[in-house]
Amino acid sequence: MSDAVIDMRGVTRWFGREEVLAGADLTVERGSVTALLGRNGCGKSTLLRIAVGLLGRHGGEARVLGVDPEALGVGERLRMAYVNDVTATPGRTRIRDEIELHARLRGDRWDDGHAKELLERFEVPLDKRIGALSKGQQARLRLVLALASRPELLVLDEPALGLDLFARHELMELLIDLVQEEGRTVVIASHLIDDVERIADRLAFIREGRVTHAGTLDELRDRFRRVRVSVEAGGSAALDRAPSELIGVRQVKTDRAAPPDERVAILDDATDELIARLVDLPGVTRKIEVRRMTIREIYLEVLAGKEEEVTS
Amino acid sequence: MTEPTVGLTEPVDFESDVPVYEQIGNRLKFAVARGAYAPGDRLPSVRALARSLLVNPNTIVRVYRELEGAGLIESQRGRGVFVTRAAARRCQRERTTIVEERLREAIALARRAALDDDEIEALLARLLAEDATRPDGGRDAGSGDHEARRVASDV
Repeated sequence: MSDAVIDMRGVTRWFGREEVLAGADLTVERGSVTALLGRNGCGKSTLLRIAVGLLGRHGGEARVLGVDPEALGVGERLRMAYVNDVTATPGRTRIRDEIELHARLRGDRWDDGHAKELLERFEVPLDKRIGALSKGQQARLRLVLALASRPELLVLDEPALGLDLFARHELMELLIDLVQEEGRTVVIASHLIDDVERIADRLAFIREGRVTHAGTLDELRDRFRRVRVSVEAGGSAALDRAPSELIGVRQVKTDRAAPPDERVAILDDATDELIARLVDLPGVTRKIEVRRMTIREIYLEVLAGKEEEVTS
Repeated sequence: MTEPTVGLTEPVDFESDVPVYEQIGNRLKFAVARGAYAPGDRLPSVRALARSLLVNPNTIVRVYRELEGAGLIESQRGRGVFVTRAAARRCQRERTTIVEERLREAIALARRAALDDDEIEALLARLLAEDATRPDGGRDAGSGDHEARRVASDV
């Protein structure tokens, strides 16, 4: 069996009459950086909060560090850290005191030297009050507090909101360092595709409360392909039926920028056999181009829908 | 830190059809082929390479595992990853294969653009001539789209 740090099966969660999670599965392997991708309101944050025990679930199975997240003990909680985009500390608190508090809470796991290094790298001013920090500075402080105990499991929910390019770069380097240490695992929910595809080795796409696609970046890019074909006059009928007749053909569409006899088939479970069958359809004359889709294209393909606009 | 990262640190192309681990693997092979790393030289650590390319360290682990499987490098516990004796010749051979593949793609592109053989040959001749007049003399070729530009700065 795989060495899963988080293992969730069929997790459901309602808020009032709204089913925010509708049977979500998520496996996070030890030593991986797993990114959750989804549009606003898709259930990413809810799933992460359930995973770390901040929120109960209404159905399904869940394990984090080997135990049910609803029954986490102090031991497990010390081994993980969770960062979201909210600083839940009174604004009058001095940063120095906030750090001292976290150091005491974390006890032996707090690495003072590492904390100092992080404070310096993230340029967090020690003598200010939390309320006087900019949004970006608050985000950096939260990361310092989470990283200074070198958690076995680091769960980041939109950690880069408000961070400038320098701080994002630092964050990515820090995550690289963290994963390099034996057994460190990172789960990150983010809208920043460019950062995510650098730093993540596994992706999970969440849509309408379910994880619809998951795998390594290469697995996903191997599965999703664009096949550009040319069709004979009047021969596109067979091609248009392909999505309902050939498993793995997701959609066939017209590329507005391409010549009128060209169509594009999007495959979400591409095999050589499927591509051959597609090209052999009556009226389809030849394949012009087969290529792996980029993560950005897969994101747009998988998550497109009538949900609200992505804002970041 | 002064670890040698010759020819390795240009940005990786995440949009490319070539997987990231393969792009990085090809760069290492090219670096060995042109002698930037000699047999017995130590390659950058996983961490150093991951940080300078800003990619997931597991990607670098995979690159090194595949190069090791191909007999191009060997890892010595606690000391690092080293270029093997056989690597230079094999990388030179493979470099030819990789360049061949690129040229094949370029020819396919030219055919799609309906260029004939004479036009393709004329184009290649012109580009070679142009390349020869560059300050570095166009001595070396590289892997991937960024390689050729990069070589000028790191050879």
